[in-house]
Amino acid sequence: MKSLAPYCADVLQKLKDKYPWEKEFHQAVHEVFLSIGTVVGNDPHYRHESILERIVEPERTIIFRVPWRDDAGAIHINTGYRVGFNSALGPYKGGLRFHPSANLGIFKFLGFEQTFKNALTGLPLGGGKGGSDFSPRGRSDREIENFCQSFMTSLYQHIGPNTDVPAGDIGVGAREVGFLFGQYKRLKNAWEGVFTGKGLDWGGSYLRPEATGFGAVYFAEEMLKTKGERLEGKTVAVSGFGNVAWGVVTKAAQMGAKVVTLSGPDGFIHDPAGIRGEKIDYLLDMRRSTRDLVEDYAQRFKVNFYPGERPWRVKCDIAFPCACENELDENDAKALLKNGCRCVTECANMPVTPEAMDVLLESKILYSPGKASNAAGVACSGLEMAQNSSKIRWTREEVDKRLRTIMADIHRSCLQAAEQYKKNGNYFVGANIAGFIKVANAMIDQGNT
Amino acid sequence: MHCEEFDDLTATELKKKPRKSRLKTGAGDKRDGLENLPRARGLCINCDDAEICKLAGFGGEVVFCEEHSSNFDNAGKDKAHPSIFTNMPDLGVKNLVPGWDT
Repeated sequence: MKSLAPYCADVLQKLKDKYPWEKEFHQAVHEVFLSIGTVVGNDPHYRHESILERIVEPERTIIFRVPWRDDAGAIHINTGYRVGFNSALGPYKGGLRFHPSANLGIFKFLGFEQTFKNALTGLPLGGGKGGSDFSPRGRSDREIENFCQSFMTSLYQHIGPNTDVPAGDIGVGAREVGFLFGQYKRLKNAWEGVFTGKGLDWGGSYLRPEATGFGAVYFAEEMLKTKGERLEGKTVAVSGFGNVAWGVVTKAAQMGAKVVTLSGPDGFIHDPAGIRGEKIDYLLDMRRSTRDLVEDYAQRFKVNFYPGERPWRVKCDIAFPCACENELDENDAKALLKNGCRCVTECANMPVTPEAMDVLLESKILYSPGKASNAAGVACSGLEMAQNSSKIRWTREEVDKRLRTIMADIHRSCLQAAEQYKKNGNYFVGANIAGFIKVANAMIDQGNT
Repeated sequence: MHCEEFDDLTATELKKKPRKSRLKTGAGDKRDGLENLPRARGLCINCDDAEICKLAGFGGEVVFCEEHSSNFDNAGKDKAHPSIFTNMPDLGVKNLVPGWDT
């Protein structure tokens, strides 16, 4: 295991002693601390200001009871959480997750990660996360509405467009955002931009569904430019077929690349002719069908389907892992390199295992971490907040243009931070350092808060 | 938790002495025990695709999954969960990228 700088190791150990059960959170802190050791080592100011001790402790944590009544009249009790991790750069910003596996440690982990991702966007966004251990599965619309209204009745006094702006996440889709926003509006007697991911007709922004995928492609294009290359004409492997993968396929095809793979829970397909036009629209049909089988694509377009396999052994120039965490392991990384892959752009969160990450970093190919290359989702949320504040709506083209500028800025920040600390071309270290410096310096500027 | 004899001075002195953290050991032991009990673990436990999923790490303590299926059945029966796709019927390459010939 790589060693941490003494100050980082000391703070992490204290954190483990204080919250020994929050293993996911420790891992997230460990990962960031691995990258910023040089930064805090070179500048004693950070230690003098106890910046690491402050940055790993959420500014506030709200835990509340969520009682709700089911269709049979029985009362259920769930727990609601909202972690306001850091507001140095703007109001807390991060999604709400309704899932039975949710607990405080998970929300601290997600809020910590969100803080640095949001910082990279350059927008006035702090970091936060929250939700409940409630499962929407099997619940009626009325039960979901009851739950959301009860949840918001406790949360509304703690959030607001200048305080904390939640969004959706797992288990919180368009329906839940609508119920939550409606209850907030009712209790506050105000229509304000307190949520992002809203419906397009009531304050939502164009491009929110496809933003993450589009942004990842823009980031890849920026990385390729540093080598004098472009996306056009490149062969691309994509995993997943959810909205992130769909956004990547759409934008990559539009920019002249040939996307040859997709994957689903059942395996992957290889389409050597390229996925474009009506084939992209078919992805939406596949999702709407709720069958969630990528094999359907293979049957429809007469291409090969590989059950239970991942697409990383297919020859490609660029890989976009868009499905889930740890989906690309050490052997996959080696296979990609062997087949001539020159760029891996993370679109999901943490899709590359630590061992695979070492292989990719060692190889010196272009490799970007998700916290940088998938930041367009939250960036678009930031643009939704800006539109709500000014009571206007930008066109799809305007949002797209701004997203592209933001992704180019994130790319430049990562690259410059990596160079400044003698890690040229290491986007992983660059992203962690750039995010950390923005947050830490703002905290120091704002005094002992 | 409760001590009527507590005084700050003694507590400060105790902090100076290196000693094994009892809290850490105790909590750790309990945690290990809990992990063997059936309880909520990761996103997969209520995913619609749980029976067919072959993604890496399936069934473990998955925290991130862009493919998590939220097409949960509900009392509406015929009404699928209004996901990002079902909610925006005009999505499609032609509408999404104006001027791009598909």
